[in-house]
Amino acid sequence: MAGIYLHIPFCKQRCSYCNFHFTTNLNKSYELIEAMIKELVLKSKLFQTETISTIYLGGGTPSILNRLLIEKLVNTIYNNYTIETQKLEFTLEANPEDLIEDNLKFWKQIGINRLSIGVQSMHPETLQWFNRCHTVKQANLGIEKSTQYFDNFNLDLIYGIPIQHHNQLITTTQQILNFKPTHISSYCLTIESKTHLKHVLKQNPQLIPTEQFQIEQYNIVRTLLGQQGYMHYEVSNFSLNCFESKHNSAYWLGKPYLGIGPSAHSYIYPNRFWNISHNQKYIADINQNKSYYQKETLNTHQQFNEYIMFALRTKRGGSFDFIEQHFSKTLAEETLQKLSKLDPNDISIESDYFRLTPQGWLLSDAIASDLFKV
Amino acid sequence: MKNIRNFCIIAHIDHGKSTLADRLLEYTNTITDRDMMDQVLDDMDLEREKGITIKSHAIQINYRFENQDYIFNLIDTPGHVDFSYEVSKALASCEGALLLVDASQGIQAQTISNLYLALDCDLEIIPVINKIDMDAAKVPEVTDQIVELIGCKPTDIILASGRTGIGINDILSAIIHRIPAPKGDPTLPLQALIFDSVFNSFRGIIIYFRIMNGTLSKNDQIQFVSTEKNYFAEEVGILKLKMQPKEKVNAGDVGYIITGIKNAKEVKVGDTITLAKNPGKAIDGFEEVKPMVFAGIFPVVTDDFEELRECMEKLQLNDSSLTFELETSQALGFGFRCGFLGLLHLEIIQERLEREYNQTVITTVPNVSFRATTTKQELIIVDNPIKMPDPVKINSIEEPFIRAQIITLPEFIGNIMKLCLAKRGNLLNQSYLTQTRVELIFEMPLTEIVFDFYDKLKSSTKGYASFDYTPCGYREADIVKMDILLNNEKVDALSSLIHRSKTHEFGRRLCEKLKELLPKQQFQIAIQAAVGAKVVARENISALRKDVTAKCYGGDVSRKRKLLEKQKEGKKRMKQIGNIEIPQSAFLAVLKLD
Ligand SMILES: Nc1nc2c(ncn2[C@@H]2O[C@H](COP(=O)(O)OP(=O)(O)OP(=O)(O)O)[C@@H](O)[C@H]2O)c(=O)[nH]1
Ligand code: SF4
Ligand SMILES: [Mg+2]
Repeated sequence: MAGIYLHIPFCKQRCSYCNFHFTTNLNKSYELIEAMIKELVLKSKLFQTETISTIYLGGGTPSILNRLLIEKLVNTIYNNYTIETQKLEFTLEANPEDLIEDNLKFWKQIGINRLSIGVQSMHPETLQWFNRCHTVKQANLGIEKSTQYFDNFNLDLIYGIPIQHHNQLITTTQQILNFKPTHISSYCLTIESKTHLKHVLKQNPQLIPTEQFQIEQYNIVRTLLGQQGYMHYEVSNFSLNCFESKHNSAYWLGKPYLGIGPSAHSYIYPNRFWNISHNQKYIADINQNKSYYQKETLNTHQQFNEYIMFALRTKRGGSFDFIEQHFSKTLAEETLQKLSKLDPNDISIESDYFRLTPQGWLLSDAIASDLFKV
Repeated sequence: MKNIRNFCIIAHIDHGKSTLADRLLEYTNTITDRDMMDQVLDDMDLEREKGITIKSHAIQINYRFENQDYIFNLIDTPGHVDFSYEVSKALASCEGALLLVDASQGIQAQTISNLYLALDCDLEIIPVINKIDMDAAKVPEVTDQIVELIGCKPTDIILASGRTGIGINDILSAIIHRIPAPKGDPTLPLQALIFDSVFNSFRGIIIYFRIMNGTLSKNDQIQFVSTEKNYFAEEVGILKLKMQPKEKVNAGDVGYIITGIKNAKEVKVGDTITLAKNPGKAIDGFEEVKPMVFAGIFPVVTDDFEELRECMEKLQLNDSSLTFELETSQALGFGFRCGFLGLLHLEIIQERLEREYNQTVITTVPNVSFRATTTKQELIIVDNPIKMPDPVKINSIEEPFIRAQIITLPEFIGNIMKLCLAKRGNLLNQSYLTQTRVELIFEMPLTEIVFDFYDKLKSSTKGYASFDYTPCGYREADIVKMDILLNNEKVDALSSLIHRSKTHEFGRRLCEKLKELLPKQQFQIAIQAAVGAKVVARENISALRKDVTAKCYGGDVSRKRKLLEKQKEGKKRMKQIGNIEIPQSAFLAVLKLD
């Protein structure tokens, strides 16, 4: 079981909260996809014994990419990798304004079977404030259309936004639920450095969302989705039964994956690789057979730290047995001892398993770094 | 020897000593253009960052003048009060001193105190008005001040600028004509005064000395007079910008010696070096330094105590004004109670331990040294809050007083009076040095000037005040111990000794500062300041409620793990008291009160 992630570093315009790697200039998209195709071929050697069970076209905004280019990319995967055809989860990230009939038909035809749609909000002022490309109307139309072609789709939602108050969040969430998506990713607004949002909030500090406000909104979303039968299986992810994102779950389970494209990350035990995050350099380095990535080999401590980090974000949690087998008995005991001291509302420890409660997830980072080994 | 001149440059802080030294080195071609930079003698990182001299620095100059070859040993000294001990040590190796006065500032407090130190050592004083290139230079006025202060003729004063080089040649010729050559006799038994030393991990301890009598050669068998221990002179030499090995160093000269000694305890600044086969007598060393403030220094990781001890000993080699003895704290384990000459000195020591010796340390709340007399008439020296006897067993407590000299402009007298009265000061005298300059003499408790007096003085006089002080005995005072409790647990390392009248205000400010410095934790923290059982101030830190990143997918893993690992490193450097994690900085909260 292995995954492939393709990073398509293009967007129409920059959303105010976003610090992802992409460009709005599509001129070089042909060269870039050619380079990614080369990378796919190069890396196929690493995965000769693996079967690909998930493919994820992310970005950026892959839905703005020319259909021919997508097709070329996808065919390269089919021709160079062993695919688990029966159970393949093949996701494409799409923005609502791109959800038009021709696109949807084409995506379906080349094997894509899951969409992840960047709705973010159904509150018109918020969409504007975020500098999103789409309107509420486009979102409604696009999602409606998509359901004709795809029954498995995720809708992205952002909460904790200063100008979207509780009742507006409730309306947004209800509207999203009306589409009956199989999966909902709901992210707390994070103020990243070097974003327009950061700049705006620096000038209007009274708008900076408080901890209290964001916690309340976390609970609102959780409750509304829970009522409709969505399972909260990771800090920011909800799904109907059996519809967890297989691709993302693989990250948290320490499964191998290849990341293709500028700034993409790969993991093949015990190494992590990350590609250069500059489109032109990436293209040039690939074409001149130069090194286009950096690599780190995880030592035992780092492996343990990652295990803890993921275990404390997921409903699946972690296992003391696993720690004992893969690391050491002392480490398992130490972990148990530290976790036992936590507030019982934040954690549940049952025989061999530990998992934070949705309440505890709010402190996941602090708890993780306490458990870390450095 | 008649062609040797040993002199130092002394002045109030920032009057341009190190810059003038640059020009002397440049005009005598001592330093190549390539090695030249501003304040080249300030070679410690800390000196360069802070833009002040911290240690005296000796360097030898060769100079040809009227067809004669001369050797100058120049010592650049620091100006800050905390380092006046560095000045006294330098003076003992010299026959003359350049006394600089900034042409725009005139005579300031340390101009006077350093002048008196130099006169005590019978040095020839060459007064120099420096920075005359400045628009604000007031040469006639400053000339009058100097004439009045040292009783010289106006024509004895050299006008110079370390920036432009005006007057440098006059200074060079005055050094030759006015400063006497050293008097030593190279044929007498060796007597060399150790004035500094430094630990070098490859070569062992490097010792700096000035030879009063006799000659020291490579391969000599030497002896320290105080310990009568013998060593072999592996290398001797003189001090250029770098060390320069020589076959021998003669009477009157300043030099260095390497013997391979590794144990810091064997070398003492102020000791005399002589030869084993023909020993000379000890020369008068330096006066004992009297530390002004005391604070604990503890390793963050308790196990690192022995390593810290070694580093403190090595650092002491290079800073003989640092004193320390063993201390134990409930909160922090084993450490050292250290004596410092002032707060800047404390800060420098902590910084040097971290930078030069890679030690992460916690410094506790500093205090002065009090004297308590118990009901049984025992005298107890209280230089540490834990030494404070139970109040019911105390008959009386005395605190150290100082005599403060403040020089300022008449318009600021009111502000200074207000400040000094608030600091429990007492005006003894007020006199006009000239029409526009007033000298105020106060008696004040030392403890009141240790903390924020400098900054307050500066801000209430727009920088137009200089300040110097000397200890003047002990006075009875109502001093109490104030404790800090975190979730009802006393943290001994945060206790302080203060005057009863200040407990409420000080307690409140300290609690507020701690609230700012302690990171939120997964539970609420109550901070209390208490005198005995009585709580005088309190603050609460609410529990941490949200600390989680929204996204953690394939591309976020490494970055996020590294971030959390860094946080973990930070936590490891914190001190765990009960279940509360306290960062290093919190222990010095008291110094950061606004
Ligand atoms: N205009 C002018 N500025 C000068 C002159 N000499 C020094 N300065 C400036 O005065 C400041 C202090 O100079 P330093 O040479 O570091 O003074 P210092 O006396 O060695 O200072 P401490 O060692 O800390 O007591 C620096 O900013 C210098 O650039 C001068 O002759 N003219
Ligand atoms: S569409 Fe997505 S990747 Fe592009 S700017 Fe907006 S948030 Fe960022
Ligand atoms: Mg200097």
